[in-house]
Amino acid sequence: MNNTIFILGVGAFFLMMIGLYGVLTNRNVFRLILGLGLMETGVNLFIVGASYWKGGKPPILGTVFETKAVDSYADPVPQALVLTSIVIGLGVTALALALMVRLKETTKSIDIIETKEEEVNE
Amino acid sequence: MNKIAAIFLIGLISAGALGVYISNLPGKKPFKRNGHNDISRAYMTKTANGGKRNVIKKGDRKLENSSSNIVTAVVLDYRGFDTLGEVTVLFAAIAGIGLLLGGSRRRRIRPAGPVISSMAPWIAAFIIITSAYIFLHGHLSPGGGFPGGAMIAAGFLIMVLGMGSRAPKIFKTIETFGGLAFITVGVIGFLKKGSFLQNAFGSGEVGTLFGSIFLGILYAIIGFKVAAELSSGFGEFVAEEEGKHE
Repeated sequence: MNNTIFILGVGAFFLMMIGLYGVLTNRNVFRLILGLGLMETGVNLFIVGASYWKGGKPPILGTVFETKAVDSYADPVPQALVLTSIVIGLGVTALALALMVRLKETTKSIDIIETKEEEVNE
Repeated sequence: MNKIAAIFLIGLISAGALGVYISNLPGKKPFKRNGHNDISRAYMTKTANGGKRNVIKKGDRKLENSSSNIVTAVVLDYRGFDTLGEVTVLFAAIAGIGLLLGGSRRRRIRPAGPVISSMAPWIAAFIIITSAYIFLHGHLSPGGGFPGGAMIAAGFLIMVLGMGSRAPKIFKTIETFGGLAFITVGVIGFLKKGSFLQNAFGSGEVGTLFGSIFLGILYAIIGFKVAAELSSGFGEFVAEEEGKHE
């Protein structure tokens, strides 16, 4: 059993669960967005951790020109996917924060319980 | 939802997921050395003849693309269409922010004190030069258009926050033309090689700056586009926040 993969996987999973706990128990919209960010970081860490194996080198040809190059690299595909995931997560977080600013302007509150439809004055 | 119920639910999910994870934890076989699957191996060998060659030497020329950084090769060349979608999602998010926050109440932000406002352009200049290095060397070393663009945006943010200057209007233009330029590079690949976003500029020597000019062009486009998007997106927030104080 590969210990590092186990630790990375379990740690990433608990990061996701901390984010989920934050999303479930808080009513402040800003904290909900923070919780979503934590969950997303956990997922990214899980995917990157899946590509790890002991002794794997970073997949850059300049570092291992001399040895049998291809077989000594870590898997590049999950890293490329996580790059996409990080950028989209940035966009989602930014859009959620913009929505939060609008919510604060229209209803004077960012609590999801106190915010009611009738308070929105057109 | 109260805390007890949340903890109970999370415990339930954790028990189930960890049980499945531990019982299916990869043993020695899929993760031993040389254990890449076929797709990863094909991406890493980067040869057009079925991935038979195993070792890439310095100075090799007949590769599909000659970037040293295999992650860059995957992101921009093999999955370039995916990256086009990613850039489009970022554009949509920033356009949504502009739609939500771009109101009538845009005001100038006040400049910081004299120390910060006199040093801000110097710091910004160094940050922007470093970011140019990062996105031009995206196919040689870790980095690339996305972190490079984020660094350019950071340089502009120092100037915006320190000197009170607003994000210039040209950023919107750069956003639009960045997307157009990306699609144009893809269409050039379609016209010359027969499929969208295919490498139409050839591949030179591995490990040189101009060896994989295709990836360099794409990452420069992405760098400018991401920088413009982040700067204008943050500019919306700052203008809105500061408008309330005055």
